[in-house]
Amino acid sequence: MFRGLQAMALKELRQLRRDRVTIAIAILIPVIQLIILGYAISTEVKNVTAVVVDLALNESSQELVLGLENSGVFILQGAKLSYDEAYQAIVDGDAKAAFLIPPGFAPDAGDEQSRTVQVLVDGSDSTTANYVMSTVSGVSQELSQRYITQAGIVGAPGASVQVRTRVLFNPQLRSTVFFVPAILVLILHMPLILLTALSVVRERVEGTLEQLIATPISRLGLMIGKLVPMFWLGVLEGAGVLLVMVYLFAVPLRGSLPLLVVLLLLWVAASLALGLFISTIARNQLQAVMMSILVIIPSILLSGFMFPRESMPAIIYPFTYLLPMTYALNIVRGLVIRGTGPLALMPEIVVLTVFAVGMVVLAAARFQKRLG
Amino acid sequence: MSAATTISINEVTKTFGPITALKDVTFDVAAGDIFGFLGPNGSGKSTLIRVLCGMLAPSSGSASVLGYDCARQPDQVKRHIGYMPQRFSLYPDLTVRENMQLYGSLYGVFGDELRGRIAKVMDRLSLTQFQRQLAGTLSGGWKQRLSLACAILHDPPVVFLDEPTSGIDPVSRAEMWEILLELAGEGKTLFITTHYMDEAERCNRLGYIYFAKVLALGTTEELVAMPVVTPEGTRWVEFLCPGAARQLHRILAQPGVLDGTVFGNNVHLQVKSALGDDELARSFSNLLGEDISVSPARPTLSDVFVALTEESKRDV
Repeated sequence: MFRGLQAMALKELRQLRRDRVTIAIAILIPVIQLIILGYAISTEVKNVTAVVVDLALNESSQELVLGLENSGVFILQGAKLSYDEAYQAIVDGDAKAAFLIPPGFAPDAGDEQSRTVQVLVDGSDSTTANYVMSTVSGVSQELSQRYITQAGIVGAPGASVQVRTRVLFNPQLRSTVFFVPAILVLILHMPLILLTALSVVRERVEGTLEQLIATPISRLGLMIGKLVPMFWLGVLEGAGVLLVMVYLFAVPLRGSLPLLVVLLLLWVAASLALGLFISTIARNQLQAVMMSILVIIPSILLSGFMFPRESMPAIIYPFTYLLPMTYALNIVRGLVIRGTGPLALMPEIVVLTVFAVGMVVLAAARFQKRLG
Repeated sequence: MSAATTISINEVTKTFGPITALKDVTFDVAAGDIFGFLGPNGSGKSTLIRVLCGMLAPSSGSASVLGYDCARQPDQVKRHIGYMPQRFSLYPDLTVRENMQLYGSLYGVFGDELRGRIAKVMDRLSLTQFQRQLAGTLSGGWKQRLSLACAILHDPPVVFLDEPTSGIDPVSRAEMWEILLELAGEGKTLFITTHYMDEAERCNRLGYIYFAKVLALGTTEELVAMPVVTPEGTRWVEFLCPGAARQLHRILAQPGVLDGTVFGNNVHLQVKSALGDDELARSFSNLLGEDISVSPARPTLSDVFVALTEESKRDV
């Protein structure tokens, strides 16, 4: 029943032993996964960038700001912003929350308005938003408590800090609003990298490249020619997910649709370019698959796809900038959820463009070497 | 380079790391030649073809095809040549016609002209009946034909064929050669590598490469007449003898017999020239108990290559 098993297993072992790259990556993948999952990722929320608009600039407002700072959740910035600037900072993705302290802020003020801190929260990520809201209410309660204790019972019995929260973009805090645009990004990344990497390696392994390079075809003609059908495949995929996102999951598109389409095409191009580059390093199909996984796993775990990048340890955080998906997520979530404008997305757009062009150039350079 | 020279190779050396694949290779191929390039596996045949096709730059030396430098003008070279690789390198998941369309377009043939060329080449190679079949489902001989079809679709004046008949049946092989001779008849220059001696004899010029070095160049007659094949004091003879293969070891043990082999019932021997035909006939008749008549013979190409290889081994 098991005749030949031993011989077959030995043959597989021998073949595997000759493919060192595959073994190395096969070992590397779980190690990287373990490090990321065990070390970099926690559901705890930290380092939430927030802006403070302090129109009071008095002792009470300073106490409140100090309280927020001491919570360890926020990185507070820009005390001299206007309300509109604070709002724009959230739209542009520069801040996830804004605290608006009214003029003459005091917990024991006679009018309700002077006792009330207004909080704007970016609702894109419901986890972060909930965490922000509970932290703020904790801080305000503590402040009220302290005030009452300080003033003694004789003080104003009604002394308290009121918090009025406005959740922007996703008032019901639905997690689909956060995840569906990210899935759009992932779906245009993972399969396209794999398909491209495999298709070029296949030409080499099956020997069809030999006949191709005997023709006057140019290197760029060959490579970009291979990418064109994949590009259209990506376009179809993207269109499908976009329709599902808007009509099935009811995630509204706040930004400009033409801009989103253009930037998704840029993302498709960047993914294809990365796949092409992998194909020039991999010697066989298995290596191409392993190398693609090596890129995709950190992309899912570290790009902010599932876990907020801000909360990751300082040693890991810089690595999140090495992943193209980090930029694509910023772009797509910004455009879809918050309606971010092209100007605010410019750094991400530039990085992705440079990445795509760079990968094609690198691939072309490496490809020439492989012929020799 | 004379006007009639199509391929010119000048001291080409190609190394891959520590391995020398070609060492100071120098020769020309004239326009209209069927040049047969022979040598054992791994001796550098395919490497030279890749250099000549502009796919591989030589480490030193230079080569040109139709006046275009293979290293500096590879695109010009590629445009004017056809290349049929040793291994089937077309797309198994495209049909015969689709493969031809691809290669026609890659060589810059489009539209009506492409349709016309495909029809002509398909007709010539009898591929029309298979045009809608996936290339991967063709048998070996037909795959080679398709491969040739793709290589000549753009009507190149020079065609490089790397073992075009390896692994196909004798009938397909013969048919392939009919087509090749026809192409040569149109004035195309063919550069062919092969392991078959009968194919080598069809070529009007031959080169023999052994361990990166070209050991001999010339027509079949010139090669056969090389002194190394028939050293002084030796000559070649042959005689008919039923069941020759069973007797060969006894024949080779006879005094004065230097080397020999068997073709069917024909014994082909290198002997000391001091021994005359009659003398040999007597001694073999005695040995084999049959009436043997010995006649002088011409060394075969195979003898030539064995002699060259032996000599080269002695030199090392």
